[in-house]
Amino acid sequence: MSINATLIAQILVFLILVWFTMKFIWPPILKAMEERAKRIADGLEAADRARKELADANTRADDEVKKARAEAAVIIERANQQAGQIVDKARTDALAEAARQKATAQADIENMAHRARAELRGQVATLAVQGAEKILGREVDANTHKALLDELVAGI
Amino acid sequence: MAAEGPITSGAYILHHLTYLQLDLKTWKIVENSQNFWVVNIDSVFFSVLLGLLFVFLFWPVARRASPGVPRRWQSFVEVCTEFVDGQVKDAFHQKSKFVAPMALLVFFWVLFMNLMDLLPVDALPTAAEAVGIGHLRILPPADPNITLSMSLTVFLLCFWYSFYCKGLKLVAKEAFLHPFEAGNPIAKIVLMPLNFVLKVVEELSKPLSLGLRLFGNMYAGEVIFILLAALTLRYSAPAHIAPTTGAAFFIFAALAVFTVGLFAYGKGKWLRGWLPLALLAVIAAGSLFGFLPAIGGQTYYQILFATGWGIFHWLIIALQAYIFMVLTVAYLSMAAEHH
Repeated sequence: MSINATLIAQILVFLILVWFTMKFIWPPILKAMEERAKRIADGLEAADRARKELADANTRADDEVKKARAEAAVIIERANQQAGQIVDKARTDALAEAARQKATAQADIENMAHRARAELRGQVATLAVQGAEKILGREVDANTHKALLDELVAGI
Repeated sequence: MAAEGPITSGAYILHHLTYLQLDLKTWKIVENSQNFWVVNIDSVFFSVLLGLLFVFLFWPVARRASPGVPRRWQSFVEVCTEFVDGQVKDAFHQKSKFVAPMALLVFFWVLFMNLMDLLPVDALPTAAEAVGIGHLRILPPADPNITLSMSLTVFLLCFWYSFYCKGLKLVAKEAFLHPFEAGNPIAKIVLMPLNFVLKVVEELSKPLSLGLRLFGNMYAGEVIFILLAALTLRYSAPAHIAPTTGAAFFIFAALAVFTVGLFAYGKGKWLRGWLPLALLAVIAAGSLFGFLPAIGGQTYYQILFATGWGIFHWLIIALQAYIFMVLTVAYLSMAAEHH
């Protein structure tokens, strides 16, 4: 083994290759790799964020649904109450109407009964006078015995 | 082969260990020159070729690199880059523009250069001989010039980088006041030369060990391949029958590949055990007693031996490339950090 000028030639070759690698090979490859790593990291982060947002949206939706359900319950409750009130009012109204109609009817009945009774009384008086005329065989002057007849009618 | 007559294993091995050299003063191809102004053309040619291989594998990806979904080749390059980047981040804690790219280059360049060792030892030299090139060593790391030049470059970069990162004052302090420290100024001055000598030895040992480690491993691996090939020389064809055995060469090469395949993929004790062993015995006996064309025997053994050692050598190839890269980064890190 002898050392010769190959040494110098090879040092030059080595330095040129190192320079070339340093200038044209290493940086683009590493840059691409780092950029890809960054993209992947960004993508993962975005996915995480999206997942969190989805979870948030879900909770919000759940809250909304819960709130809506509560509101609906309140509305139904109120509607029920109103319905009860309406039914109650209707019942009271109906009862009052019924009572009123009953009272009117009773009053009518009483009136009619009064009238019928008065009529009957008059007819009874007439009948009584006619009966008495038949019995007595003569005419009873209604005017003459008016006081008597009135007394009779009142007595029936 | 340069040698006339029957080839001895010594000549064969020497032939394989001779560089293709160019004398820079006379511009002539020389052999075994001891002058300094000589270039081993084969080492430089193959290292440049493999450096270009690295460039053409990685540069297209770098030019079209996009942060979108990577295609297959881009993914592979990115995995490699990521691997080197991780290694550099483990060992090197400063920000630097050149350390990581240099580690990437060093790893793949040394790996590709080491992989040349797996080519059959005779393939390219024989091809070169056909076009009139007498010697060819295709394994650059088995040339100390190559490995030492790389480690020296690393050393020079470390030297410059330590000044760049720490400044003259701190570098001088580390060189003259450590490892022996003293309380009073006179003792400090007395210890200065000793400290400096130790520092120089320490710093010089780094590039030497870095370069010689790679050289030693790859040289030893190459020599083992050559020795295994030299073992088969006695089964090689005498010159006068060689041209008639061209067909036998391919038949035996195919047979050798088939045997290796049986060992590797055969099922059961017949296909995996007895059949390839019987094939081996038949070829061995045939070669020994001259029943078979002799070049066939040589090829057969070379492929078997080289495959066996090659599988093991893979480990060394990858490991040495890795070690060279890690130590390069570590030395640069030591140069940059205050300690």
